[in-house]
Amino acid sequence: MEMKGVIFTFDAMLALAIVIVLFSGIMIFNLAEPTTGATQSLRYTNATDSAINEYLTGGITKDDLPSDPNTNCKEFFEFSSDVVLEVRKCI
Amino acid sequence: MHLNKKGSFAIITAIAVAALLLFIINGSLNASQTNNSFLKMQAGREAVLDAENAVRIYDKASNSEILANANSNLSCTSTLLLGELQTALNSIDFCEIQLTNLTQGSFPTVSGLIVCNRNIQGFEITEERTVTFNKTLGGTPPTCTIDS
Repeated sequence: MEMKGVIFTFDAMLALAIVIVLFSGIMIFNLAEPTTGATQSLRYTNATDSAINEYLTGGITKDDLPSDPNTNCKEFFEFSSDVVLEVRKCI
Repeated sequence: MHLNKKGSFAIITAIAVAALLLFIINGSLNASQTNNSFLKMQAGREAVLDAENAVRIYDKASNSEILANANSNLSCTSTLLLGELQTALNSIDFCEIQLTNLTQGSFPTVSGLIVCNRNIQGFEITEERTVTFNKTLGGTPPTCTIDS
């Protein structure tokens, strides 16, 4: 059914409304999803905070190096007759 | 006012599409800049923490060097053997050490520049830290306490 208006037809307005709703949805979805950098930074911050806590309190956690490139690790070294790995936390 | 319907519709549609494209481009640029900012922040923080870690290692190594040379008090224990300070300092591989002075022995002097580089996805951040350690064995007669 097509209804004629002054400038837009009813079909045209409906089409425009659908397009606006779709783009708005995509924009909101993109805003809700953190960027790659933000996600990586958040993982790194969590790993660092945890590693600092362990390092300063004498922790001995030494996570294996991950195969997943998205995993962030933080290492701290200590001096004990040589420079040795003290703490490695990977998140 | 009478409008030419076909022409008006085309103009309004073109403006709407142009505005929509501008919004999308702006959104993409903002997302890209935010992404880069987070990566730079991460690189900066990693470089600073590495430099702090290197300073701590220098501090402990120079302490150990004094104790290794504490001939006047044989009860002092050290994790270093005599003359191992240079070897120990060279084993720091996560930062570059540019030594300007290194005196081993009972009164070790360590001074120089610690340079830590961090490269994360093309963003390179450099942290430079000047360090100077002049330490002596404290107490009279000397104890195993280190003054700096």
